[in-house]
Amino acid sequence: MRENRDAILMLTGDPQLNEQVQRLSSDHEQLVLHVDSSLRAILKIISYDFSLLIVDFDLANLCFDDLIRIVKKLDSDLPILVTIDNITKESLARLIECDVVDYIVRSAEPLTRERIMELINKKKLKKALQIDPEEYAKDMKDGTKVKMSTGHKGKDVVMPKVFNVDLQGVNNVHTSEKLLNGVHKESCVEEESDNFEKKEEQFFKDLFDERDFSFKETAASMPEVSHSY
Amino acid sequence: MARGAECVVIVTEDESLKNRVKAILEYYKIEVIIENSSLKSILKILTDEIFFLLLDFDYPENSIIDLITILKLTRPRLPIVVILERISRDRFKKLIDAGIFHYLLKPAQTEEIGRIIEAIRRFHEKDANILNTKIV
Repeated sequence: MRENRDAILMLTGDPQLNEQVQRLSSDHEQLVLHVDSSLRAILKIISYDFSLLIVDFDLANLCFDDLIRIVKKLDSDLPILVTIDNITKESLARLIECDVVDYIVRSAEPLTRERIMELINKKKLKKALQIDPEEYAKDMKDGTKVKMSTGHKGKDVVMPKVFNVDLQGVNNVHTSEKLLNGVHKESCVEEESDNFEKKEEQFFKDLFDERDFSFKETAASMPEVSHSY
Repeated sequence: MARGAECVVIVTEDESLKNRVKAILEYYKIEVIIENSSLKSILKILTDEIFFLLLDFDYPENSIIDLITILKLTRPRLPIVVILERISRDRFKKLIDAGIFHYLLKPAQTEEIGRIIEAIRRFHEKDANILNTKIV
């Protein structure tokens, strides 16, 4: 967990399932932790950032609803996979009531690595999409002010910290291309387009001066063309 | 819980203790909620504002220390009072390490509970004062 590896917490009384999950994560991509009581599971969830919780519905039968509610309150993003022996109307109603959408019936379908990875990635995706608006606003307020030497001349550009951009050497625009992607690129494009127009103008001016080019001469020297229809 | 009202959660299955403590607390005009499971008590503490929690140490679930640890991790400023049959040095050390506020021996005495309530009121007042203090 300290090495930023995904961790799976298991609250199951089925040794076969424990072995199966252990085997599926045997390439050490995930850490698997087994607990035997709901309280221990809650304690672990408070202490560590787990990527997946696998709960045995039959083990936590009496306190299943409370356990799920507590887990959702403590870590609302934590995906929960419920394993169940036989699904009945009652158990299904309880799962729906607890807002649990991921479950497997042990006798009907095996737990696959793809299923585990899908659930783990769910949390990662949720985390990646989360930007706290307050934090963003604060970052925008406290963000580093950058004075631009080209493009946005004389303007202070505030770079929010959320972009994690290293702003050292920003004023030296030509050496900071990698550091300040967006703003710098924009300013460079403006600079380049200005230069191109100037260069183009100068080129044609030079061309006309050199050859003493005039439209009258050009017209006089052109052969007469008669059109007969 | 109504604003201003003080609410105590009792976690026990002992009927006589339940009735006795409930009567004492009601004498001190404190609202009482009785929970039969530790998970329910955690849920209650996570959702509502609780004055203090009274835990029966001789509760059938033998993981009271785990429960206290969870409660202290989720609500560090929640006073937890443990009530138990007898106390030993080891038990006392365990309870103190887990972070309890006070302990009571069965059967609980009215005056003793009264003193604990006063202490907890002062504790909450201190907390409120700290929160209201303006840092200049």
